[in-house]
Amino acid sequence: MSAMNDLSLSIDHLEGQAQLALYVETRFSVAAIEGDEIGAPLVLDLIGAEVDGDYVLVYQEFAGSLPPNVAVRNDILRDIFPEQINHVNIAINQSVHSLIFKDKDAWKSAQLTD
Amino acid sequence: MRSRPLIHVLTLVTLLMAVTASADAIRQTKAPHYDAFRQLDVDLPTPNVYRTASGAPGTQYWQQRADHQIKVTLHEESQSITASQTIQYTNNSPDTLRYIWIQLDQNRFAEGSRGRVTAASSEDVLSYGALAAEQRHADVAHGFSIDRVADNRGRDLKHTIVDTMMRIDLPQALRSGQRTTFSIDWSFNIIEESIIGGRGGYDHFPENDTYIYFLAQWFPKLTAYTDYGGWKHQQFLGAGEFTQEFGNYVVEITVPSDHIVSATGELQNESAVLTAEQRRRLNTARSADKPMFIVTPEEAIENEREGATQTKTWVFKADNVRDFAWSSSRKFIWDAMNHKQEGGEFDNVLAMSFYPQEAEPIWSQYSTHSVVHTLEVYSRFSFPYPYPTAQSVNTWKGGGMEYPMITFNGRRPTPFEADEDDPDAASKPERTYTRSDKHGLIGVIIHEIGHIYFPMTVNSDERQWTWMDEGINSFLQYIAELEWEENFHNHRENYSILEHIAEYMVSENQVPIMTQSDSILQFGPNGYTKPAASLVVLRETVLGRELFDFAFREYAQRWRFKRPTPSDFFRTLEDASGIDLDWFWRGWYYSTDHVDVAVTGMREYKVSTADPDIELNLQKQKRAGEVPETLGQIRNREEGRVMRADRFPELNDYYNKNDEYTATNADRNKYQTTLEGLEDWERAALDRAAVDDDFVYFVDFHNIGGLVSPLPLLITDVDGNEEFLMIPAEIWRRNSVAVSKMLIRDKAIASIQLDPRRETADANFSNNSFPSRVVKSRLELYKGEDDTRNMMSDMLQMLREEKGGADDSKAVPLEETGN
Ligand SMILES: [Zn+2]
Repeated sequence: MSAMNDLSLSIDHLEGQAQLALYVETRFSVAAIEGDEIGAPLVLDLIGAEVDGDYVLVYQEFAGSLPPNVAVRNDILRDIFPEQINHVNIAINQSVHSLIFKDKDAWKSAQLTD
Repeated sequence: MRSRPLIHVLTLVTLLMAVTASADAIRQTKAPHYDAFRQLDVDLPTPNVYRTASGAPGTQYWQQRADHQIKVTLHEESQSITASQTIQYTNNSPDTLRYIWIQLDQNRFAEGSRGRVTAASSEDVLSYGALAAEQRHADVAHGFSIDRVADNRGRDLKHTIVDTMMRIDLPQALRSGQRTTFSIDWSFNIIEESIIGGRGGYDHFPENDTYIYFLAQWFPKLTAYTDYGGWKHQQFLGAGEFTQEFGNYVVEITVPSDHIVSATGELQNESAVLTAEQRRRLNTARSADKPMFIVTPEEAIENEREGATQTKTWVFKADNVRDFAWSSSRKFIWDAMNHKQEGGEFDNVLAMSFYPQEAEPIWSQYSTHSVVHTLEVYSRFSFPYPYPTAQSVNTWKGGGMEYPMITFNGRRPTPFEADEDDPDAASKPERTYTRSDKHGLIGVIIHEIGHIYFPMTVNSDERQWTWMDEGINSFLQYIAELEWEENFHNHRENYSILEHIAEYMVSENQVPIMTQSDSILQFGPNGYTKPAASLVVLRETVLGRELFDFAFREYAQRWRFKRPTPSDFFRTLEDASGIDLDWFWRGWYYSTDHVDVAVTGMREYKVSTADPDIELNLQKQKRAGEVPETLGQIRNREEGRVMRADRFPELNDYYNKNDEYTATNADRNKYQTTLEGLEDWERAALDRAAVDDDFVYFVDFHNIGGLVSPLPLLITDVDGNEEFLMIPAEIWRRNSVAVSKMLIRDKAIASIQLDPRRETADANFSNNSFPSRVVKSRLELYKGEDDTRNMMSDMLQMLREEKGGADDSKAVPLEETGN
């Protein structure tokens, strides 16, 4: 199989982690909501990824202040596992707003104020 | 079970949970008070003769029994099996049964099964995997073909198939204490596990067209009939695992003559299926203290090249097991060693591993040792391993699944050229493996072998409660991993199971641990990690190791070969530890609160002597220490400026000689009156305090997460001396939101840190110190690692250029038809 000898498949290696970070980048987006419209996805800066025990952490950053109302989309792994359920926690100061992405879910809105 | 490595993607933080005690009969209907310590009695099932109020099996505890005899043949050419089996069913319940329910787990894969029909799809995307599975289902009929159901005199029995269940109507009702025998003939096409997905099937190696067969949920078996739920007919949908009855098994497995078979139980006919050399090696292994080959890697490679037209029948016997599984292949390397133990049914346990050459080199090095390590650690926490064999079989690339005495485990290293500069690649001449291959393999074997204790022996109801086997087992797995080697999880320094679970526990739409298996939203964190984390907190922080270990062992021993429910676990841990834990179960298992306690303030006092001559002077000194002299006054003095009052002495009066800190006679009289009003003991306490001259502190804590938690405190005094203080969770008993703790210390306190050892699963450490300290976020820590970050950004750049920005989505191209 062509997959042999491919370092990019190992999450233990920098290349595998980078591949995963790039994969997440294409499947996780945040966009501003203006009125009833979902704007173009914000450009998030991909910082990197690291492994911690059973977890992989992917870091993205947005320079500047976020708009008060945003839409979030999380398609991570849902293209491969139809039953995948994604969970997004949005933290603002002491409060958390959670979004769940499953089945046919696409954009979901969230308020970024307390 | 342990699923394929999933990627947990959590974007985190904290929430102030609006606490509601929704279904309680007792409700606080005025102020928003929440009684975190209210006893669970009304919420737990009423104790009875089957299950006592202290969590033990009752005087009339009963469970059914089902003994199985199966003859099964593997047909390699058609990838199918046929079998005939006899079941002897004993009705130990007090009830009369008119019919019997049988589980047909293979029917989950059948056309029209509830599991398949109710699977929801995401977006309008078809993955290649989903397409291949649909094509396979179209080509091959899956699910049981039930050819015959008959009583012990060969007369057909009326039977009705309901999805993954089958009802057999008994010609005569089965009364309490009676037994009945019946037989079933059946067959099915084995699924290709990597295509269809399941817990058993076959694994095909296209490189050399070889197979490993691993059969699980493969025979019709008795549905459990219980005192708390009657017949357990929750259909098999896929996620919720199994509810089983114990029994004895004799299974005759007919396979091609060059196959090696691993199965639940002990092999009964060595001389008929093994060569003289293999038997000699097996005998040596029975007393070996390290793994010995019964089939060597070289022999296995030789075996898999051939093929056989003859068959052999392997006979296995297993007593007092709740299930039976087996695996067969001509690819297997086989090694074994002895595990010696005391005080159980078996002084010697044969630990074995079966694996193809594709799983090397990590399997011969780590698999059997991991099995024995698990037996050592788990037995210390529960009871001696209750069976004669313990086996680890490599049946797939990832994941793991457990059965009595046999486990199916993943992990095959992806071969790649060793990079000499890469310290993470353990170099081997011909193959290399990564750190996560090694730790992943040890971890999955500990987990699956651990399941032979929970739930294979402590027979909890998996279909109903995932946490009772997965949570408890993940907890012991974590303990066993920590005992394998220091820094076992050392992808990052000091990994703790408590750290990431907090990120899950803060989320709004989680479900409580006490949720039925098939309805759990985030299976991994809910059913595995959160209960495991809770038990780490319970053992290390709430109860301490001595009390916890005694109580936990009591639970394991009480329910060994019996069927516990959650309340039996909750009650036993309280009963045997002597500590009221209802608040703990309520918070961790019945609610979605999380731990986030903040230190919000600290005030310092001294005990006042009330003597105005002393106190007013002290106040003066204190004021002088706190507020500097006015700058203008200092500079005037330095300039030698003479004050008007000095130039005109007649301007001086009483107030020039005495400041506001001078005691008056009125002050002194009031002091005398106060002293006279004190009882003798009060006077003594005041005098003692004057001598001690201690500092008195009031420290304020705010429970932001809602889950009440013990308060481990690190107190540092002004000289840098550290003191550790553990305040039990009961401090929250009157107010679960805000409390203050008084501390009296002879030296002034410089700082207080809450949970310095990170043992409470606190979700936010930035509010845990007074005075407050800046705690770096994970992102900030990552960005601080300059080397890592630079290498990563170079790599991202390189990969981006390679791809040219193309999205390499692996979806099947779809085009709208316009219909
Ligand atoms: Zn498991």
